[in-house]
Amino acid sequence: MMAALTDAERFPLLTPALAKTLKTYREHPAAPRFNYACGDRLTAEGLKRVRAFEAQVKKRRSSPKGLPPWIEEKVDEWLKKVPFYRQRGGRAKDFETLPAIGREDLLATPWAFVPDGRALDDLMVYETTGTTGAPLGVMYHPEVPSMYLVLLRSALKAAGVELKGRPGVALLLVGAQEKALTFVSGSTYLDGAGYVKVNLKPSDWRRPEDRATYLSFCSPEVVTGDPVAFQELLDLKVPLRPKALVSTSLALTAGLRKKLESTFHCPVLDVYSMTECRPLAASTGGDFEIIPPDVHVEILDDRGRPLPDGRRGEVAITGGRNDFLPLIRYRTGDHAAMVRRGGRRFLKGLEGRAPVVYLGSDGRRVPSIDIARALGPLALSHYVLHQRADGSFLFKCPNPADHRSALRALLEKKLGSKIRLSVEKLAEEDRRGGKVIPHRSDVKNPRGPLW
Amino acid sequence: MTFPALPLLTRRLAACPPAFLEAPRWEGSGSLNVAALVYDTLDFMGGPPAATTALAPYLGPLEKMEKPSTAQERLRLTALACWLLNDSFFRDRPDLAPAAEEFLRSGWGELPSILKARDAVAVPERREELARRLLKALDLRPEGETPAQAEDRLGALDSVELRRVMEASRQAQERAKSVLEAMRKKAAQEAAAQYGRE
Repeated sequence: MMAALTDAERFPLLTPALAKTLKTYREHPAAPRFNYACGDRLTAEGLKRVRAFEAQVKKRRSSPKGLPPWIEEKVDEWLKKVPFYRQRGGRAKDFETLPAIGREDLLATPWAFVPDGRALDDLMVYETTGTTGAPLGVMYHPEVPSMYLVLLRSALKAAGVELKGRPGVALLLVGAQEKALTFVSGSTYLDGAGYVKVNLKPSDWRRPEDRATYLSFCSPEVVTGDPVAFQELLDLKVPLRPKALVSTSLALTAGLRKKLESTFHCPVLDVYSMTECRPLAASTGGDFEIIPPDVHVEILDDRGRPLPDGRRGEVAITGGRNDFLPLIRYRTGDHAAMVRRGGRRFLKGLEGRAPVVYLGSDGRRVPSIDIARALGPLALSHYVLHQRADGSFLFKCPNPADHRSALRALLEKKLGSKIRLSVEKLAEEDRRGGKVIPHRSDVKNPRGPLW
Repeated sequence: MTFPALPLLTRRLAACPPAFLEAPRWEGSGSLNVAALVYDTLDFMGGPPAATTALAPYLGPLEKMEKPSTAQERLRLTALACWLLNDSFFRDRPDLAPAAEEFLRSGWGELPSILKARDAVAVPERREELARRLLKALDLRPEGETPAQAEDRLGALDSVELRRVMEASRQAQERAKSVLEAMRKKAAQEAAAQYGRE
């Protein structure tokens, strides 16, 4: 049983104003049944480091071609102190010959990425849902999420939006999932502004109509979510007037973007983010501009060699600010080409994860994230769930014989007991450009209730 | 330049008289007189006679920091090296005497804290290591080997390096264990708020 913390422990710099905000949004009569509580855990020292990072982000918007000046020193340090890299060997001077690493390396030996001597007392663990493969427990320290806000603020500013952080709710994260953690939190970095995370599933609320009432009451500066949740938000017809919408996690189609922009009268920012390094790039409709100044981005060919600007390949990253996970040439599994304009870096033609909603045998729609969560306990390194146009399912994974009965039970629970399901071994041709796309559906515009 | 045959040296070590493994003479106790052995060995090699003051390292701990048990092993290993240097190959070799004297006096490093003298007699790899260490100190190598081969072979036998590797491996295992344990514990605890979905 998880020991509950007090708000003073969740927010080491808790102010009376933030305490009031937490109470107001937790206890509103139309509030959902929140199922979690958490804070930013930011100490005075931590806040200083977040502010210093903010200054660094403001200063370094442009990035000249070639290796950034910090890379040799950082990589040299990691080659010495990080067990995984030390064992592999190589020299920082020969950066481009260092072998690229992948998600499978992080899965196999997460401990080997923690530098020698790094204290573990402020370690936190974030379990990914595994929308791109096996769930991954990513270690981080409390400043990492607040630094995410720094980068988000910077990306919003580039889109002409100022995230002020003010009394009230600065950020509202909406989800549309079978299960999600929901809570009221806040941010010391945003001067004590509130942060609310809700799930639009009606049974998470006392009355379905409370959703519109509560979201209107929150009146957030910015709403974040994935395209599936945004579609639900549109259907709810909540009269929100945020300064911006921030879409993450899944690829945003041009059609949905247009609809969101015209409904909410604000820019829609598509953020390319991953748990391993948090936000990497953002787009307001065109190419994705790379945001963090402390991440070196390369485009690699299938042998791990860097490709010149304009050539399409796999996005690989080095750097970041999570010192429990220093990354050297980490292959993200996503593909794009690098282009530069005015000293700024952009990812062109970035292929994100397309939102997939399956149609269950009982006529319900089931978002892929719910499938990813349900399959989590099987810890599959890769899998593909493909719904054919006739509604039947094909599941592929590396060792189907080990999981066949558990798989059927889990999938029937999510997709209905009458699904037609076949299970096969994952083949080499399922790797598209080296990446296995886990969710696919040929069912056009599935209709039906989500819950 | 001629080099000694390694098997002759290792066989010589294996046949070392048990007296060389006795307790070194030290503050009135012990029977193994290492200072006398060193004196006689350097004389056997044709080097200049060792001054009485130069024999101090063979009479007890090198300094206060040296543990008595380590000093005892160092002195026993010194005696074994003297036994090797009394092989006919080293007779009347004043050219080798200064390096031999230096090795006997200060060439042991961490080895006495790791290697027991009795193992340097009883265990084939440790016999070979001691013989090779001595040859290296004298700028020699086993007959029939190139310098690189000799270096490689000693590297593979080096007890100090082996312990360092094992210690590093033990520390890495301990670290992996504590990180995994912390991960398991922290995954079950409340974490800091995530402001977005990845």
